[in-house]
Amino acid sequence: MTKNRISIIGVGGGGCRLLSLMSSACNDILPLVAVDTDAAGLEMLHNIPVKIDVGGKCTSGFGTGGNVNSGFKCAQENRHILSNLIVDKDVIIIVASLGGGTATGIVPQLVDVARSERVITICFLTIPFDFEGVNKKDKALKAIDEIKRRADMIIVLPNDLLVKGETDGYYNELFDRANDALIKAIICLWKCLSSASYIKLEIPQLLDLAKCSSGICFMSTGEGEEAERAKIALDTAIKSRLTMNGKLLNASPRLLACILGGDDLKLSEIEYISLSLAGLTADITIGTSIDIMFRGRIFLVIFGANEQFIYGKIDDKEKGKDSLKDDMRQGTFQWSSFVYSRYFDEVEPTIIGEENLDIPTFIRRGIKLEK
Amino acid sequence: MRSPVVGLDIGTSKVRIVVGEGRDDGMIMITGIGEAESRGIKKGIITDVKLAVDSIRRALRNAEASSHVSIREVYLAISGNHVKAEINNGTVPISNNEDGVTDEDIDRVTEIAGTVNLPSEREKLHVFHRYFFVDNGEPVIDPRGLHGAKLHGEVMVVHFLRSVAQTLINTVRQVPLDIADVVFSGVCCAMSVLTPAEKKEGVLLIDIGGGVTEYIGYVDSVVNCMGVIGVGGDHITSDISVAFNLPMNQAEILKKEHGHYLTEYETSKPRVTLPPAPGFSGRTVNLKSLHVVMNARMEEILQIIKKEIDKFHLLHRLRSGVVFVGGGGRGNGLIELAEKIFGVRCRIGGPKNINGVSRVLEPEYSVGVGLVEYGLKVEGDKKSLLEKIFSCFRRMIG
Repeated sequence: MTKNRISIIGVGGGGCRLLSLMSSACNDILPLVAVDTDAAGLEMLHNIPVKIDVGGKCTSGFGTGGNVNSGFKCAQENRHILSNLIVDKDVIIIVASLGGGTATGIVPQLVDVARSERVITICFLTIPFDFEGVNKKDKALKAIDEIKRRADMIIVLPNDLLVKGETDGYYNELFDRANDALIKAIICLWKCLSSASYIKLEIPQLLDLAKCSSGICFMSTGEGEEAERAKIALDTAIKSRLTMNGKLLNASPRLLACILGGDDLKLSEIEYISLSLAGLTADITIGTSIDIMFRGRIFLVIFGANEQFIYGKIDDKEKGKDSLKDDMRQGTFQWSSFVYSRYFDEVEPTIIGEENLDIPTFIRRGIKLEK
Repeated sequence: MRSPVVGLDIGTSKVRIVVGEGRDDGMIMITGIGEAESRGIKKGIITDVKLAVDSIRRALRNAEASSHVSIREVYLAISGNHVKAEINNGTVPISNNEDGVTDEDIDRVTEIAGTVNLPSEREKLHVFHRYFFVDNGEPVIDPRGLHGAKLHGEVMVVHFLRSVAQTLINTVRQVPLDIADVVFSGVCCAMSVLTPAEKKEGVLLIDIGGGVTEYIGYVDSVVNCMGVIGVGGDHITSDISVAFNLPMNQAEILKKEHGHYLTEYETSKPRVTLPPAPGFSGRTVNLKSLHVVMNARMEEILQIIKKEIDKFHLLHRLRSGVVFVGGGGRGNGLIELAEKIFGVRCRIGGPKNINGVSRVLEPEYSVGVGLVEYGLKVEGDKKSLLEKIFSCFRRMIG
């Protein structure tokens, strides 16, 4: 696939900010498009070649103010613009932070347009921290419900896992680190799909991964420098909070890894990463790409799928049913509790023993459902 | 005929009002009912007073129209998993050696046994007699006239969270309605549904409501155990909603029209399609998966109850089996599943020995009818020792 058949589209304030950081992180000229309802915000993005203001009459260019209906309306009124944006593309990679008004209202519509234009969509979507409140999180999760019906692949990134570290840290540093990892993951994927490479990634391989789990995927990243850089990158990616310390990797039916290195990337390093991941799952796909800005370093992003992932459950045959209880007790994966306990939010949870009975029984028991 | 007695049951799914009168022949005549969808109530607890008041008013209008009376005072059912029960006991010397145990001895021992150290946020609601022992004798139900030195009494004390009850009372007062008394809804259910013979032989009553599930077990006509679990029909619906990505109202339709609690139930077709509706684009659902989801939840509820009653060694003494009431557990296959779990005969119950509006015979009206029965007993002349329920509530409403 040629580079000009893929677009990277940032939607809303969060998505557009990531795009502006992305433009200087890679030696290639990235096909970046910023879509927002905030005209002033778009104006400030100096290094993005294509900027689309869909605020227009809806928001008078001032943004949606967190109103999803306003974002939805902007998308509806500018559907033809969104369609023109993507009509000559094979793939669009959408980057957005859900929970506000613009991205939450527009991304479902953009994905719908892409579907009707037969354009493949890969979405990187962050969702708010728990402390930002139930309403914001609720909006984000409802949007994901809508998006997953039409998107080909969604990489869901809870801020509680993406940004927070094992211990407290400085606000700026934590966000910078998270943004850096996310930007590099998107660049790595784009390069593996579009660059000439001896070990190339194909779109059908990505789609095969996403089909394992109704489109919902997880991702983790790692980066290493100098000696043992492959081992460091791999260890970091495996032990990431985004994979629940590796449990999601163990349980995923297949894994897809993209390796980005400089012109000093060794075959033995690719082999090491590939064989190590093959130990976790039978079905591993590797893509590689080179960028001279990454000389001396290796960046690794791993994508996996898990059918019960969005409900906070690991479909793990080896560990059995207790793994979910352990994780919930330790509070390592609480974000998706909002998916199923919202109905009972106004009252105290029903806890018997150590189980929260407001969570569906079939989820707590690890029961698989036929489609 | 005496003046009407009115029972108010504020459930998570429905508010129900039952109006009844006692006849001179001792039968109860239900003269009117009113029902309305509940709003502002979850797991039997009021979460939005304004919405709850509105729900009660709608039910009240229907009840007044149905019974042709103006309703000013009600007997109120209380529920929720904040309601707890514990067994306590006490001992007093028998005051009169000639007459043996008297009513005064029973009152004294009941008062002592009913004195439990509750946390400051909790209030006593009921004290039920269980067994009496004279000196080291065998347990008896009625010790009057027995001779000995000491009378030992065992009681079951039912208590609740004061703040939750106060919200309930204030809500009802805003309607406006006066409250004659407050009764645990499990007790009301048992009054209207179970016969004295069943209570003597051993029976477990399970009321699966929308928000909570209550159970009360009897052996030898004595309350053996009771409890409330904060899980009900809404949890079954919510599980279906999550499993198939449906709005709650569509999940409820699916549960009622196509639900079954047995996973091995053979369906004539593998899938069912829910048609589009406003805000809903339609969905096709695998019926086997639906039954799996429902089975998992209901089995869990029943297993929790079974574990609780095992602590009181009740299971092997249920010669009258298990009786189910309430709308939350309505669904095909419940009895078969329950019989597998409890290993005794199970049936769907409903109010007994009443005349009047036929709808009150449905299981969902068990609490409302029980409240009317309770009210008539309290206001009537005849009270047997077994049916005397000490209401501690009056101190609270003052």
